[in-house]
Amino acid sequence: MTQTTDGALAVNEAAVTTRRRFDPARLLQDQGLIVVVLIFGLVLSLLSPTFLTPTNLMNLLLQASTLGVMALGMTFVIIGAGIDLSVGGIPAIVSVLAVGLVVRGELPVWFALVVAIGVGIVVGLANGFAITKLGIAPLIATLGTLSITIGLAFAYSGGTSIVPVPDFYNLLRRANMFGIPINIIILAVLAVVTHFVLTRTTFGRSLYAVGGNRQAAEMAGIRTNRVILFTYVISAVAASIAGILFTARLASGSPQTGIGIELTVIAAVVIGGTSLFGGRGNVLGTVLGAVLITMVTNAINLLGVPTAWDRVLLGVVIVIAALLDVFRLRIHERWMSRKAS
Amino acid sequence: MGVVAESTPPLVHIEDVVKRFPGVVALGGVHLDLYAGEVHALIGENGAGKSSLIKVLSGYYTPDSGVVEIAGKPMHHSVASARSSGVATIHQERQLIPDLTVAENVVLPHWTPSGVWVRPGELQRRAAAALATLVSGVNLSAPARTLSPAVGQMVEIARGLAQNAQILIFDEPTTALSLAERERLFETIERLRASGLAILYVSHNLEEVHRLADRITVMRNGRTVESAPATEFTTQRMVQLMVGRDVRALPAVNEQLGETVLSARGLSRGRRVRNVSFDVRAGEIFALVGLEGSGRTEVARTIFGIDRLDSGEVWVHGRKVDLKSAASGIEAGIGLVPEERKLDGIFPILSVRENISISLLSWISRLGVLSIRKDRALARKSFTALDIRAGSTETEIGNLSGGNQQKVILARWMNRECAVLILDEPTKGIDVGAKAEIYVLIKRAAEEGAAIVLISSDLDECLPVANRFGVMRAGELAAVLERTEISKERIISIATGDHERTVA
Amino acid sequence: MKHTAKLLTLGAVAALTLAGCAAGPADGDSNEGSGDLGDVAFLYHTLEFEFMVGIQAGTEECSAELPFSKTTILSAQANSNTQVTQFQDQLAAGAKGIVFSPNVSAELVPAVEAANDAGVPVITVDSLVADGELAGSVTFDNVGGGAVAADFIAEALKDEGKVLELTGPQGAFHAELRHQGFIDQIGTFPGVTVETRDAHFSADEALSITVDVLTDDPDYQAIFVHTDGMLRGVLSALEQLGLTPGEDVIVVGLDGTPEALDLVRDGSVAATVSADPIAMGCEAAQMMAKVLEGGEGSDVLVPATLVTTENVDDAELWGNKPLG
Repeated sequence: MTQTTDGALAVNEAAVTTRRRFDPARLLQDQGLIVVVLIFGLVLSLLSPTFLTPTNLMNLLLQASTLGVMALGMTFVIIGAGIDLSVGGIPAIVSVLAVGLVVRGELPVWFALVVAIGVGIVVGLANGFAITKLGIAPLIATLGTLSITIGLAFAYSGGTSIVPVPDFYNLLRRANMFGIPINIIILAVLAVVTHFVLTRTTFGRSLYAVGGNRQAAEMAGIRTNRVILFTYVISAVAASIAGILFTARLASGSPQTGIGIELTVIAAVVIGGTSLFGGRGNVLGTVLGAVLITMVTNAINLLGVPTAWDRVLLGVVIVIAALLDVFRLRIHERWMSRKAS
Repeated sequence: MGVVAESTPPLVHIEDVVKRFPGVVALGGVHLDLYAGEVHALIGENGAGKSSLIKVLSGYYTPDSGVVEIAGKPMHHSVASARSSGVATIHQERQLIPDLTVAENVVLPHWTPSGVWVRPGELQRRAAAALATLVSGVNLSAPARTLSPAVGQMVEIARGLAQNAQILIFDEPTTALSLAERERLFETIERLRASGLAILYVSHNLEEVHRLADRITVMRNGRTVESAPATEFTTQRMVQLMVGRDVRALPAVNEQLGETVLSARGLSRGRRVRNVSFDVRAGEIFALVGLEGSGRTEVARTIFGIDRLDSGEVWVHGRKVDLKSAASGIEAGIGLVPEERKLDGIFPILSVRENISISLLSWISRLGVLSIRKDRALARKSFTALDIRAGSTETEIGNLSGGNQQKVILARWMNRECAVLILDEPTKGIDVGAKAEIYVLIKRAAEEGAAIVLISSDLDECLPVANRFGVMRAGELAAVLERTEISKERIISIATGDHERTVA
Repeated sequence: MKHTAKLLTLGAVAALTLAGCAAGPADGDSNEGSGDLGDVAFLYHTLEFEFMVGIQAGTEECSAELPFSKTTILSAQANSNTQVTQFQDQLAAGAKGIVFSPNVSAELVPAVEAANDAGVPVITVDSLVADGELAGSVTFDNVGGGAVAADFIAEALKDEGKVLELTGPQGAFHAELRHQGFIDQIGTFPGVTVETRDAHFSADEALSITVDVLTDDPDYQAIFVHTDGMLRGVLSALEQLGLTPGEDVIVVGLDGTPEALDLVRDGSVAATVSADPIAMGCEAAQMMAKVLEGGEGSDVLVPATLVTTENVDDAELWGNKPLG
């Protein structure tokens, strides 16, 4: 250290540490969920010989992928300290439009897709507008759009499913790359993109700031309203994509698509380490959360768990994942004190 | 000042207390004796261990080793036990429950002296009795949130007395008080001392310590450095012991001033800002002083753009600023270091690096994609330029001391080389050693050509550094004084309105 | 600026609501009748199933011919609380008769008793209530439906094989009866075993359960679903598993929806069991008119009809009739 003329101490720039100190807490957070997933998987494989077979694992991933896509979108919203319930209704309106416009309206498939996703974007904008400009609480605003989208889906379809679906969806359902179903590929791609956006773009950085301390973000010059608005659009688009995937999977344009899924999506995100208070969240956690929740259903199906117990099982798994959050702090401290001595 | 017979045993005897946390030693051997009927001041820099010691004494922390005796008996380390042993703590931030009434806040948690049923009349009487000696005219049935910080503080003292406290701990009690309220508090403390209570007074304000303390204990790095009667300390010595080295005097005033950079004209916003106009030149430090509530922070926020003006204009470098939001103020070259770091300044979960670059995202990115390399380089540069002390650039900013956090926020604006830098109470809650460093940095910014608006309640600090002084009163700029015309008394009299003269 | 924004939003919401109302069979409909028999309310527990939409269509068609003063049609969206509230509101509004499909039988008993106290006759359609006085009921023979399906499957399997039964929610009126009928009848065929799983009437769950169960144990020859809505889920599952419906596994549904009939026609579904919801809805409306005119109601059990490729084009099947 040398002294400069105005008396302040100056540190040699090269000596400043920029490498992140190995932070076991962060690692354990992600790894923690991996541990839960692995342990659960281990238990399942002992109870059911089918669990670890490649076929079942692929089925599991496939089943988890639509939930995963929606959870990725929701991750943005929750990092921004918001919440989006309308994801329980967007797949429905997207599904009926994507099929109905072709089957009843006799419009080309690509057009129907554009309109369907467009509707999703409009819902996202409506959510964002209601929340940022009108100051309506996210829970209320998205509850409203949830109800409206489901209602519109039923109104448009007449309450019934629209079948059969155009061939495009059958092709989509069967599509795969190197034997991996396309849903899984889509999830993987979106996960990578989400990770990139969150960690390597100005939008992502601004989002963490807005979610972590909205006031400070405003004072630092971030256009917080724009950031929040965008998160709701992202979530809605993710739900729209999921709606298309659901449509292909069940081969019907149904107003019941994705009904009731909103809380499961939020659960997947929160189990994955994203805090409902905002400012914290990561992609790996979200994907693992979706996988874990799907594993519970898989377990129920393979083991023949009686109906009443499936909710109990899901609840137990969620509580364990939450306990892990508490544990990781203690383990972090113990690790730190081992370092200090 | 009271005189304590030192032949009587101390009410609180603390010896060799050690408390460790993972990675840090909070207390490394503390000695302190507290006698009934005395005011014992505890001073030290931030991080010296004062709050850890308070937490040990109030039962919140259990020490790893050492002796803590109250009235001769070893202490049980629990909050309930400390309370029943007669320890009450008056915290810096109010600990009232806002929606309960004043009376309920005084008696809590003892809703009834015994039994199950709460009798409101009896509750009111107990509360009134406790409050009577401290403050009058308080509506016992009003919700606690309607109280001013000063009266709220009295309610907390009453709570302690209602619980038969023998030992009162005051933690930075004057930060939110006006001059008059401060005086009232001191009178109250003196009365409490006279009635035999033992008072532990923790404060950064060495003037207050001089005024009140019978004995003083200085802590540094978790240890007791010196504990002796107050008469044996000078301010110089106190600071020396606290910091461990000779603290540099505050930097001298910058003489090289350039052209006018900031022009504020007719700023008005409701009743808080009334037709305020002033100019600041490049390199100049313009101190905005006045009583709490006189509108200084409001002026800052309107110039910055985060609050809307009803009327008025702001010009930077001859160009009118379109004040739509903080973002537009920043575009125009204005930076604001806010008064409340935790609320408006830092992002507690993010790293130091991320906290620094958050105002400069467009500079370290291309087409929306961040360059981590540029981000790190910026952080490194800031660390060295401002001497930010943290484990690494990736440390969570919540782990830094107040002084270092403030430097991080300062770094945000200094990196942008703002034309105008507004600082709202920049040394609030920062220890003596770091305060000087902050002023060095402020002066450096001025020398590099920025126009500085410095809002400060500490006249001792800003008097030596500022070029001119704007005195605000009730939303108006009552006077603008040059260095040559100022004195503390003059400023205070203008700020309080005793003196109606304005300067041409 | 804020005011404009709020006005715009109000306008948009109003427009959307109007659009929703105009777009199709609404969840709330009120029609002026042609006569003076009094106001009658038709309270359906849900309109989210084609079957229920069929009942509503039947009700509307026949009510138009009957001398009610006013008919009100409401859906409770599968919420018992909502349905009880609708009951109370209608009684308060002066309804002279109530026809309803109970959401959960036990939970609607108090509502029925309230109507009894008010002297307002109550007729149930689609299922029954556990207690309370009913002027009549029109239900589908769920037990018989299950049995018909069982007979078909046992015959197709030649008395030998394993069946996966995907039911509705445990405790649901239809699910319980259909399961009962199916299991009892299958019990008469010793060579056939059944694995029962709860799919909550959901296509998505049917898909997930079918995939997992058959991955675990591919040795199933037939799949029976309690409602046709689940068929698509099962068919997608079989596709994912690489199995051909009709060849590797036969699929049987229940309800007789237009969609199911199409699937029977193209061979992917072997059979479904039809009840006529349009007739049921009509029957209920007519019975209410009779009761209000002083007559007696009764408990009508609508029989189950097996639908296979042989009779799938029968014009009398409700699935072949347009649903207005």
